[in-house]
Amino acid sequence: MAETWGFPIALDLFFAGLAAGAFCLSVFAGRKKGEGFEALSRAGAFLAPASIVFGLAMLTLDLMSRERFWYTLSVFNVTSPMSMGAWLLTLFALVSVAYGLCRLPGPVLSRVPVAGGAVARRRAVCLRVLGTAGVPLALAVSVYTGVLLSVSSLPFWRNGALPALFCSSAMTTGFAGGALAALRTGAPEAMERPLLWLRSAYRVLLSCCLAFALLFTVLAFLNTQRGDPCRLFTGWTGALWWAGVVGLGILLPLALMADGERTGRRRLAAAFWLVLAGGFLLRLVIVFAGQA
Amino acid sequence: MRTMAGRLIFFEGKKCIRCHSCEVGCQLENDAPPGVRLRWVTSHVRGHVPALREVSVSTACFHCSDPSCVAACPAGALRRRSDGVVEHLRSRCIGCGYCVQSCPFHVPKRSPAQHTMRKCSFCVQRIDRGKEPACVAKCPTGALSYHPDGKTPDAQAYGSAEGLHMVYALQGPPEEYRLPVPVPRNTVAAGQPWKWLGGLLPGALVLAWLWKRLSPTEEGDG
Repeated sequence: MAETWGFPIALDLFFAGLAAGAFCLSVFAGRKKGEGFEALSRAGAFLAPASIVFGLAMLTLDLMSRERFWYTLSVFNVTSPMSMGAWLLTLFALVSVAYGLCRLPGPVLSRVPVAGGAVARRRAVCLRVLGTAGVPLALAVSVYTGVLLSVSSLPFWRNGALPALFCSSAMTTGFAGGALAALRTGAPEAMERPLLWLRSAYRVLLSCCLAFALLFTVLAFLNTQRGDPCRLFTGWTGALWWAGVVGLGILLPLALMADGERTGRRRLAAAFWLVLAGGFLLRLVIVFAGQA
Repeated sequence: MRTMAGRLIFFEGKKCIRCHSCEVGCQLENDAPPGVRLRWVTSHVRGHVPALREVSVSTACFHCSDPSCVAACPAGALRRRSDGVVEHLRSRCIGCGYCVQSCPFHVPKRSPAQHTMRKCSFCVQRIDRGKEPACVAKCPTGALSYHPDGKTPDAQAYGSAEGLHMVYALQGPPEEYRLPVPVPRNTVAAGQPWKWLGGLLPGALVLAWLWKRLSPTEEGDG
């Protein structure tokens, strides 16, 4: 059977989650003082709008009538996760772009047309307002990607653990993306404390991700119809699920972040890359296995 | 005889001779491109050797009373009319494919050539002028019949009790015709609030924990 949804949808689901996680990282890290946290917050603030715009572009690319994409914003169908998602993505994109603009350096921000000067003078207030509005939106965006699939008629996708799994994966990938960008821009000594905080956060985030991945596996197995093999145990989707998503994307990063009082930058960077790869493979496996 | 609100197409399995006239009539009437069938006839072998028998069924949109596709459509391209017909407005369809993924009968098809989804329209252009749908008009044996008053000739027909507007009098259990049992209800709306909650609640708890861990007064970082 030819897939109705392919790579663009997997990319959209991944980048929407990445954007949501990166935004939350930016807002949370912005609460702490210090150059390292500042670098982390700035990286998340710029990564979120870039990711969400790319995700929206992928979503539009998958439409057969791309010029009509705006029709989704002429309807508010509360029973349709895709309609809700279109609104959530749009609102979140607007908030994250505004939030990203507020994080521009002062001289650059004051040159932004229309309100740049005024925003530059009240940057702290703007960041607080946009951050407070954006975190619930980011959470809803990360959950919508799971709800979208889990209410479909395809048995593999009709899995109650999918929203929580996608949400936890969104946070891990968003944090990893922001952290990798901050590692490139922040001074090594300034990044010490943020990295220690990230490591402790990741122990919880990856544990949640692992728990929801296992719950998803159990429910997928129980949902499997007689005579139809569970696609998490067979074929390329099964291999990618266990080796890529669970092994490389969750367990290995968890191990890399687990030992020692302090963790090396290279080791952490490798863990972040693995988290990103695992997050993408998660969407890829689920999108394709559901339609196989 | 059972009466339900709205129009009805009734399929009587024992009269079907697998001539595919309903398919052809539907394709021609509804400007369906090659490869995208809005109605299709499938045959299934029943029984055991040597007493094998081939039965067939003509399938199209079931025009559900609580349609998943209407609940799923993000562009307002699908709507249920007062006569029970689930109408597809092609001029509003964005071709996202969500109705394809949501229909429990796997009826809607993507038509890349026409850049939209396609499905049986109940030939609204004909029935609104007092005619019968093209599939019914082309059926040479009366296996398909049109009932504008909604009266089902067979109260036991598949889908009759669930308010489908395309019902089937079959010659065996529905499973043998690969029809889902029990007749599915709206899969998009069913349990959706719980799925939102199942994602939002753990997500909010984890974010709240992270928020607390990063409060400006929190000393411990590691």
